[in-house]
Formats: sequence, structure tokens, C-alpha cells
Amino acid sequence: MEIKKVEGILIMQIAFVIVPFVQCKEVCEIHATIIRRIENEGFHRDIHSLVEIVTGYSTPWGDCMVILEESMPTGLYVNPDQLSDMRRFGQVQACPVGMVDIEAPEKDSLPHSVRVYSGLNHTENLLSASLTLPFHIRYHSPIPHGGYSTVELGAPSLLLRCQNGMQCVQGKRIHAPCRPCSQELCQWVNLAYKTVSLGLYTEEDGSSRDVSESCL
Amino acid sequence: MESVQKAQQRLRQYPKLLIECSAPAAAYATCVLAKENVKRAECDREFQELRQCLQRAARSASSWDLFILYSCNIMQKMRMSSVFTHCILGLCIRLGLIAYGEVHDSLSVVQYTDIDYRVFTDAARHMLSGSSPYDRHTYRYTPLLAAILTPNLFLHPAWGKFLFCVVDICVALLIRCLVMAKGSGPRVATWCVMAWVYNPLAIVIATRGNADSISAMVVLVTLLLLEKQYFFLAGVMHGLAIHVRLYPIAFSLAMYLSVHKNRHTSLIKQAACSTYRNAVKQLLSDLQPTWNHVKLVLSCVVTFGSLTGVCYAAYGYCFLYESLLYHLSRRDIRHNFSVYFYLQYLGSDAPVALVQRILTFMPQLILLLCLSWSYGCRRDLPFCFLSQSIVMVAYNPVLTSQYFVWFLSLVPPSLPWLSLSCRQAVAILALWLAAQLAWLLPAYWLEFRGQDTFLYVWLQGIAFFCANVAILTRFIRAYKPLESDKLK
Repeated sequence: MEIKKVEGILIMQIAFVIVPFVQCKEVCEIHATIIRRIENEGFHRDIHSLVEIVTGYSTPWGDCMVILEESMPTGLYVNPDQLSDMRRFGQVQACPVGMVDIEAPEKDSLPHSVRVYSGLNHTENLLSASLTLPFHIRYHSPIPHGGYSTVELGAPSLLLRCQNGMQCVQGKRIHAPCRPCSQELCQWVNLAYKTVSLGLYTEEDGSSRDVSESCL
Repeated sequence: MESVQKAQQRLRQYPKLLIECSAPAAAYATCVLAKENVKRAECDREFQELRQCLQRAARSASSWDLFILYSCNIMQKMRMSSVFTHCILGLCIRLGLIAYGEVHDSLSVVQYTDIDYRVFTDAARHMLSGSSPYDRHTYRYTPLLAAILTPNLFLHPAWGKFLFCVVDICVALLIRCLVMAKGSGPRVATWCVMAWVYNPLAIVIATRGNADSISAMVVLVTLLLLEKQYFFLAGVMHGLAIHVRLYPIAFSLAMYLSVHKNRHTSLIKQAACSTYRNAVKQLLSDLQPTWNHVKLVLSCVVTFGSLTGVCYAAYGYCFLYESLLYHLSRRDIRHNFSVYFYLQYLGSDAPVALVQRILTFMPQLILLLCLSWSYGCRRDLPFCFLSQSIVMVAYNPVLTSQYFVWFLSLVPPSLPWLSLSCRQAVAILALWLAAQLAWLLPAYWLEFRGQDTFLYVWLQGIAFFCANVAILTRFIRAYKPLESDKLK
């Protein structure tokens, strides 16, 4: 009897150890997808990204935030003044990294990046966020035979941070500002994700010239 | 006589009273209209209501009118009655728009305030914190501007706009002084003031927070000082004007030529009458410096040099590049009104050849010199400035709408001597606006639709250029300085 009782306790203890482990393993299994589309035509456009994170169980992490870190190629830029206005009105929570020259043509400019922040909506085990970033196309050099240039907007990095720790979530730990344009740094988890068109977005820019004019 | 006057006054008030009693009036009217044959006392109730309302309004209006009458009397005593009221009204409109801008900006993400105003404010913030205002990207003005806008940060964010509006009103007063000094009557002067005070472009520019009215004011002060023959002060002001904005430097030759005291006829007319050799001789004698010339030039050079020197000492090459060199060598391949836009865009990959620079600069230079020579006398100086600024705007390698301010403030001072009929004036205005609107169409397709309309933007740029040249020739033809006496 004595031995059986001890066994019972042992089994219970083991169960207590295993259950959270199993639960954690399922919680930590997360799948992220991003659906992207570009709106408007011409020099001033918006990129919409729908971020969806599916977890094993309904999440015990508390409030979560994501950052989409877009790297703007030389052909594109975000306007820091416009973003600060939109931050003030709570429309877009985004902050460019470093200085952006809003006047330079494509050939004279450097790529820069911008972090777009958003809270996540909980529904059962689905976390979702819809992010919009207004961006602009730089003037490109004219092309000898006329036509349009192509600009590629690469895939963004997806960073996640939650109120309660997410020690078990796999992914590289990255330090980034806790809020848009703040000095305070927090730890974020860089998530792998699937996307519809693998982050390849082409933009066209109407810049052309005729062959006859190329001698100018 | 007094009773007639009173009756007239009462009659004049009637529309005002009727507006206040619009509701009972409408009720009475519908009552009358509803019945085909109105019999006596049928709409009596409505009529009584209307009568009572009118009486009430008349009673309250009379005390208000008394107040206005009294203040008008005071203003008449000041002998500036109408100009004064127009200025006050103009200032009120501007203050109202500033208030509107504050509300609009707090509600909408599409801001009323000009982006430059935020650049100024940021530059002022840098300045207050002890760093250089040029730390703010795209700040391309004198540090003095950031300095006078520092109250934006500790007083009120709209301080700068208020300042620009006050400067706007000062411009109006300067226009009046200038026109009066040139020999126009007060009635004409009032018209000129109104042309500036109620100019919607000027109002919007100042209340959105553009600093251009400051350079307009300095240029007008220079004109007035030259008219009054204070050469030393005129030189100081001109130096300041060039420091604030580079373009008044084009007026220098005309100012220099205008110093000759006794000359009141245009040089070109003399030149036309005499031989070529005589004309050259005349020009050389005109260029010969007198003590007044020396005063003008020296004070101008010293002011400009010392201001620029002090700023250079404080902020180094950044200042020199951003506020002077940048404007000299400005090249922008983004679409704009300029006739040289497509040339610059197509050649944007290669460095600009010297030949191209000379070819684009020469027409402007030749025209500026010719205009300086033909209108470079004291009487014609305001018109000279006007025509020169139109040339500078039309031939500028980069032309956006903010450049139009250059000549906007110079139109009213020359207005009394432009013999244009009302129809001609409207036609000129319509032509100018139509040329701009026509440019907007391909520009819209390029900017917001991503279509390749560069060529059409350029063609519209040429059309706008032609419109500017047409307006300039129209002005030159209409300029009749001798007829000013008739206007009194």
C-alpha cells in the first residue's frame, strides 16, 4: 500500500511536469502568414499587409504587438513628416530608421528601413493585424528607349512581442524600440512567415525618353 | 436736408434688417403667394410678425451703426479711413484663417499648415537647443528666420503665422505709401491696398505659414527708401533682402541706375532718339558713381557681407550651402512648371555641360539687364522690379507655385500706371490661371496615375512660359507712367 501510494504521487508529479510541457509545445507552435497588396497608382502609394498568427491554443501571452520592418530600396522612400503626422492622429504607427532624403532621385539615394507597429486582435487562437504604410516612389533616371522602370519591394521582417514572456517561441531575438520612434529598447522575436507572393512586389515608374532625345 | 439723409440711411439699412428677419419675411411671402387673390388683412398675422421683427432689428442695429459711425469718424480724422479698415479687415480674415488652420490641423491628417512652416519650427527648435538649424533636413533659409520664429516653441506654435500676417499688413501699408509717394490719389492707393489685402493667394500663403511675405516687405521698404532718397538705408535694406532671399540681387543694377537724381525719362527712349554711340556714352555716364551711388552700394555690400559672415561664423559651410549655393545651383528633375524641366530631366544622369548652363542662363540675364536699363530710373522702379521678377519666374530652371510670390507683392505698387481696362485685367488673370490649370492635368496623370506624361507636362510648361511672356509684354505695353496725374 505504502509503495502504491508513493507511485501514485510520483505519477501525479510526472503528470504535472509533463502537462505544462505538452501545453507549451502546442502554444509555441505558431504559424504566421502575411498577405500584402499595394494600393493607388503613381508616385504616392500605400502598402497593406494583413498579418495572421495562428497558435496551438488560445494564447496565454497577454497583449501582443508586431513590427513589420520594411526595407525600402533606393527607388522608394517614406516621408518622415507624413509618418509623424499620421502617428499623431493614430492612423499609422510607423517610424523610419535613420535619416531619409525625401528629395533625392533614385540614383543618388540609399536604401533605408521603416518599422510599422500594430497591436494584434485576439480571436480564439488567431492573432491578426492589418498594417498600412504610405510610401512614395523616387524619380528614376530616364531610359534611352522609353518605358517604365521596375522597383522591387522586398519581404519585410516580422517581429513579435507579448506582455508575458514567450521564452519557448522559436526565432531570433532582436532588440528594437518598444514603441514607434521611442528610445527605449525591447526584445522582439523575429518570426518566420509564409506570404502569398514571397515578398516580391514590383512598382512601375513612368520615366521615359525617346531614342532621338538620348543625344541630349 | 438732414431728413433726406436720415431717410437714405434708413433705406440703406433695410436689406441688412431684412436678412435678420428672413424667417418671418419668408412666412409672409409664402402666405401672399399661396393665395391667388390676396385680400386685405388676410396675411395680417404674418405681416405683423415681420413688422415687429424689423422694428426690433432696427433698434438693435441703430446702436451698432452708431458705434460704426463713431469709429469711422475717428478713422476719417486719421485720414486713412478706408485703408485702415481694409487692413484691419484683412488682418481679421488672416487671423480667422490661422484659427481655422489650427482646428483643421488637429482634426485632419491632410494638414492646412505648409510643410515649410514645420521645417522652420524644427529649425528654431534646433537653434534653441544650441545646435544648428541646418540639422533640420530641407531647411534652406537664413538662420535669422529660425531665430525670429523661436517663440513658436515657448509662446505659441502659431506665432510665426501671426508674424507673417502682420508683415502682410505692413506690405499693404507700404504699398499705400509707395503709391502715394509716386503721386497717386488716396482713392487709387486704397484700390492698390485692396488688391494686396484681399488677394486670396497672399492670404493663403501667409496663413499657411510661408515666410515669403518677409522678403516682399523688405523689397518694398527698399523701394520706398529709394523713392524718398535715403540711399544709405536703402542699401542696408537691399543687403538684408539679398541675405533673406537671393532673388532681389537682380534688382541691384536698376537700383543703382535709379540713383541719378534728375533723370525722369526712361533711358531707352533717349537711346532710341540718339545714335548707338551716344547710347553707349549715356550708359557709361549713368554708371559713373556719385557719392549717393557709393553710399548705396557700400551699405548694401557691408550689410549683406556682415550678415552672411556672422551666419557663416556661427553655422559654417552648411549655412553657405543651404541658404545660398543651393539656390544658385538648384536643379530639380521632379516635375515643375519650368520651361527647362524636360531638359533637366533628360540630362539628369550626366553632369550639366557649361554650354547648357550658359544657354539657359543667358536669356534671363540679357532680359534682366535690358529691363534694368530701360526702367532703371526712380519713377519706373516699381514697374522695373515687377517686370524683372516676372522674367525671373518665367525663366527659372525650377519653378513651383511658391515662386509666384516674388511678383505678387510687386503688382499692386505698379497698378496705377498700368492702363488696363477691367476686361483686359480679367483676361490676363484668366490666361495665367488657365495656363496653370492646364499644366495640372498631365501633372496629375504623372503623379497620381503613374502614366508617362513627362512630355505633356513639359509642353504645358512651355504654354505657361508663353502665358508669362504674353503677360509681361501686355504689362510693358500698358505701362504709362505719365498718365499718373489723371488718376488723382
